[in-house]
Amino acid sequence: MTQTQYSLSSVRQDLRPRRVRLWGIPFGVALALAFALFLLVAAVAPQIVAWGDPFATDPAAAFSAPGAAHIFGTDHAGRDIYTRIVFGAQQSLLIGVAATAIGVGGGLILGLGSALAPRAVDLVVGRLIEVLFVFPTVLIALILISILGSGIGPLIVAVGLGTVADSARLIRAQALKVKHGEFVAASRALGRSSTAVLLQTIAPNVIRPIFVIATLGVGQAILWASSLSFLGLGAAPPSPEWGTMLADGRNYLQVAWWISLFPGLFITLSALSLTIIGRFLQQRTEGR
Amino acid sequence: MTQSSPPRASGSEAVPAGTETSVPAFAAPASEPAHASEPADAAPPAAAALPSPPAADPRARADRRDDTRAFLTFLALRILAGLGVVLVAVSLGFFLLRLVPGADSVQTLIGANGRALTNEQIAAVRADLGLDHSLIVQYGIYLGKLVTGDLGTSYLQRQPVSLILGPQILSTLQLAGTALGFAWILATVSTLLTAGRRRLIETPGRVVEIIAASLPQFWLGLMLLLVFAIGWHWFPVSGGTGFSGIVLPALTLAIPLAGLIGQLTRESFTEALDQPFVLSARARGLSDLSVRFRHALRHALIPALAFSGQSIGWLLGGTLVVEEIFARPGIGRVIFAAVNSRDLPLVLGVVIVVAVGYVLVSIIVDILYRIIDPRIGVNGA
Amino acid sequence: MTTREYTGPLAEVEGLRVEFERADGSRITAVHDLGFSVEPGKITALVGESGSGKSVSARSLIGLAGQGARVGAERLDVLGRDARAFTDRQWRSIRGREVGLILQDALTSLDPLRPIGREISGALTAHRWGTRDTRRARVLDALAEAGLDQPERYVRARSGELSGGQRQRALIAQALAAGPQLLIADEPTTALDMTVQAQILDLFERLRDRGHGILLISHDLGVVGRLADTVLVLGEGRVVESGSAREVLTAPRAEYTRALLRAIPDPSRRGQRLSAAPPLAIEGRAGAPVPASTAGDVTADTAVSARGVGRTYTARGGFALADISFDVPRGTTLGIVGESGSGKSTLARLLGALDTPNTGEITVFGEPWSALSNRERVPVRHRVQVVYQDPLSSFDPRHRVITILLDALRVNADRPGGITDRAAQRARALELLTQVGLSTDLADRHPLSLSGGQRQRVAIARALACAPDVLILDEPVSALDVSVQAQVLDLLQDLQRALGLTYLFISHDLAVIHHVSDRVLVLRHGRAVEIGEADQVLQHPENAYTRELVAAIPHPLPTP
Repeated sequence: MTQTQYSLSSVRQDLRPRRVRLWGIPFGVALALAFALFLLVAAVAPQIVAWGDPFATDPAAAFSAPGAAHIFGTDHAGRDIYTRIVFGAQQSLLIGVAATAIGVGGGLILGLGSALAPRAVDLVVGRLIEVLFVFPTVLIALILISILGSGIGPLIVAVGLGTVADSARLIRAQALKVKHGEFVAASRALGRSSTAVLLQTIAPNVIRPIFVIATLGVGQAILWASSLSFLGLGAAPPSPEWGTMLADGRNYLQVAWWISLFPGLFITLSALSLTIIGRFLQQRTEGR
Repeated sequence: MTQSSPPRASGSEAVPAGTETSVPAFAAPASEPAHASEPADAAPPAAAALPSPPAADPRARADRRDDTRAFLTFLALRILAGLGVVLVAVSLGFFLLRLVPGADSVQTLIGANGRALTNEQIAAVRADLGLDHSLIVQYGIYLGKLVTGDLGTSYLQRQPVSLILGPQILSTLQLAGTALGFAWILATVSTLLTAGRRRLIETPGRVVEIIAASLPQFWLGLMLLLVFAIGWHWFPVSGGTGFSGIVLPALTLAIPLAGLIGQLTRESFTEALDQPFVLSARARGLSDLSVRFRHALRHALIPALAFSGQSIGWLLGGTLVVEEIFARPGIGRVIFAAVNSRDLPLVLGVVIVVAVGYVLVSIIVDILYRIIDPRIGVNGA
Repeated sequence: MTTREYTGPLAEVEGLRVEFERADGSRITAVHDLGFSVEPGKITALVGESGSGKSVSARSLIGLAGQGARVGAERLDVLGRDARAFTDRQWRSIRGREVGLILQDALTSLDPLRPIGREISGALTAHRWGTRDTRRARVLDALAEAGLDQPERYVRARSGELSGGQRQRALIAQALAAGPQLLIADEPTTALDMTVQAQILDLFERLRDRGHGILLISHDLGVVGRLADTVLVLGEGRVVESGSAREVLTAPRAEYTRALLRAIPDPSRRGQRLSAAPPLAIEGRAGAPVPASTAGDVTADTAVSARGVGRTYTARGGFALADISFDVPRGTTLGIVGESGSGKSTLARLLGALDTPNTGEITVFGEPWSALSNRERVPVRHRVQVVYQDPLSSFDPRHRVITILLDALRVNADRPGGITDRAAQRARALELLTQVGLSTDLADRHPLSLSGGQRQRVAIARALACAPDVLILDEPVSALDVSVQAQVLDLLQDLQRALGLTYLFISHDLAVIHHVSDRVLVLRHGRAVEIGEADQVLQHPENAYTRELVAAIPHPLPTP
């Protein structure tokens, strides 16, 4: 066939480069999974990925720039930043997971309570969720920490309660969507009693995305917890908690940028990879 | 904080508006409390709003009058609900803060530096601060004063709370407002330039947004300082007056926010580009840029607007961190000090400011929402 | 603006080929070697089912074939100009001005956020046409040309504020605004009610008479038969048959065309099979009630009976349904027909006991049904099952095909005749799949990966799993292509005969209703306007509205 090929460049058309995939997983997700795996190893058995002692000081090596001996450099006491970051992973993850458990747990109670309960209850609980939402997470955390005192435990509770409103909203929205779905009516039409519909059709479908919400939540909780530690409300120095390390590095910003750079980079990467993984799971469960 | 949360349709509390007189009886299912299980063949409520051709003009005028009335009702209800939110927030804060161990111990309150106070002195101070009443009475007195606009007197600074907060609010508002503005500009530009284009252009846009949304403010602030203030001396390290002083703090808040907003606008923008009305517009001869500007962008801004309303809490939380890093005045620093010293009236003052701010912003957002998306005015939901 | 009179062919296409790139990088050819032309004052139709490539072909004429499309042709002339080498700018200059595009459903085809007037004048500003004042006047002209009286009233309205017919006219006005002589109409009446469709088809005839050439894309042979001069039947991107509308529709040569025509329900062939598939061998249920043939004494054996049923939704007195009464004898079908807003879906919900009437009562086999509380209804609920228009949203998103069926079997396991044994449940589920004509290989698939027809069969199988006596069929074939619709209608007929089921079949499509129903109930604005034997109601309607409905049915065969 003799013909001219022309392309319709004004249309949103693209001859796309093939998406890079590893074992059917998008490249970005694979990277995120790899980083999450590294974090997990660091949290469970830090000795595998870092051989030093996070608390060992070495005044002679203070403020070494990143190099062969210390890939991320050292701080004012000559402690190896990389080692400290690896050992800090446990705390960050622990805080993130525990706070999310509190946040999502509270969110479940409030969200389900308001979505599935009678209208009057929904009105009250719905308002409560909004009021909680008004308070900035940091403000809630501040008030709670002033009640409970500072430290890791209060930090977890504070971040957990601070994020309850967020998960409550997400779960409420999901529950409402499910509740009014046609398949719920269909399930009733099959001959289920109201209780059976609630337990066998609505509940499983509401709970299904909780894992996704939690994955996304852990990333956010790590961000908040490190913020509070940075403000001096969480772990106290010389703990290798990332936010605390950053607060410390801040004093030497002009002379030793690496003390601040690397802990922050790890906080970002943790939040980022958990977000990417969460999104990926979300797409998977939504089946699209 | 709300990275993953789909924005709530901000008009959700809206009262059903405008449908009262104009919907003929047979379309009644549409005014049933709106939910997904509505009968599928119920005509969309609006389909009947302009009844088949010969509808006289007076009718249209009456509709408009109804619209105005419905809007005012909506506004009144919204303000009422907002006052409710403020009241609950204040009460919650009041009683929560009383849980603080030693909250009403005069020693802690006035920071007596270890000096032993006589009982008479303590009693005098307690009477002075109003702590000699029962909790409920104190609560009542506080609310009573609040109604007259009196936020009380700071325990520690012995000054009216409104006087302490006044100047700080301005500074924080300036910061939050500039940050929100930056965030919108960044998100809009990124969406217009990269959304719905070929993968080679779109992917970097996506990646940058998701990274931006994961950046911790305190670290971002330090890094901006490091590069632009310490490294290149473009902006002052701290303080600084006028615009140059606000650029770095505002960017610190704006970049993560832009990431969050950008993800939303990109999604709805791409969705809008796939809609048939965009095909119609292209088929009328509109250029790609016109299609993006005149059609898709407006659809993309709707969820972003709703989200901005909700992000006020997030922004205020962020100002606390940023004001600390950049040594800026503002309510963030006040609350930090107030919570640490358990200065109840001052903390409550901040709570009120935050709650009022949130309520005001969400009312403004609701109004804007109705301007951008007239469908809401019609459907009332 | 007067239409420029161009006398040559408005579009001439030869050897059109459109390829798409898939997400995985491979290529797929959507259109092979297609040729057609559109003459002024004539209508050329591209007919085919979904996926036949008809829309893509038509859109290639304005350079909007879609994302990732590569278009090639031996000849692609638009108003005498070779469009193969058009630049972006050249394409834009003909869009709207030389060629207008009219899509289906103006609710989504006009920007819901912009007033109609702005949408229409957009076509003018895009071509820098006229001044502000002349544009305003032209907008009003275009609205009038599209048949809207008092056009000023519509300029500031948004598409969501108009009725279906009004906004479809507004959509046509926006395509006409810049004065194109060639119009592409892509399923222009598909989302409309039957009576509105008839009016829009009239409008297209007027436009044709005014010298417009129209390229009509439709799946509906009735619409095509009514309008087209020339017809091309497309199947999987190739021309199956082409010729004058008369030839193709009255004496089709290709088997594909014949099957398509046969699939259209028609009163003359009531009760006959619509699809080529042989009847399924379905074993009658043990002790199944005697089929309709012997149901002489109607009152003694009434499956569903409604007396004065009404449903009000608001305190304002607006009603969705008022005073509906009917009896459905066991083993027969009652067709319930109505346009949007007629209350037919509300009636479906009431019959399925998903909602309760405010007035009146529905009984099933003489026993209370709507009057039962939810708790009381649970033990008898299985007797009445519902099949929905959109089966996908009626399936629990967690479930695969087999689990959908097992779920229904388990809910009913403890009832008389229920199956409690797990292995037996599975066997029964697979048997049900076979019964509705699906391969058991599909058992482990997720409904998302099934076609529309397959999903509807799964939905029917699920209803059967409950061993019902009555099926409420709520627009069960509305979302399906004609040939698939034919298969599903045949299946429903087979099942009714074998199992002695009673159907309440709800649809907006009179042809389908006529085909399946013994008796017909016509609804309008929530009231019953006519009820009676199907032939009586649909061939000799007494009510004026029913007559209007019947007259609006487009027939595929051009009237002699």
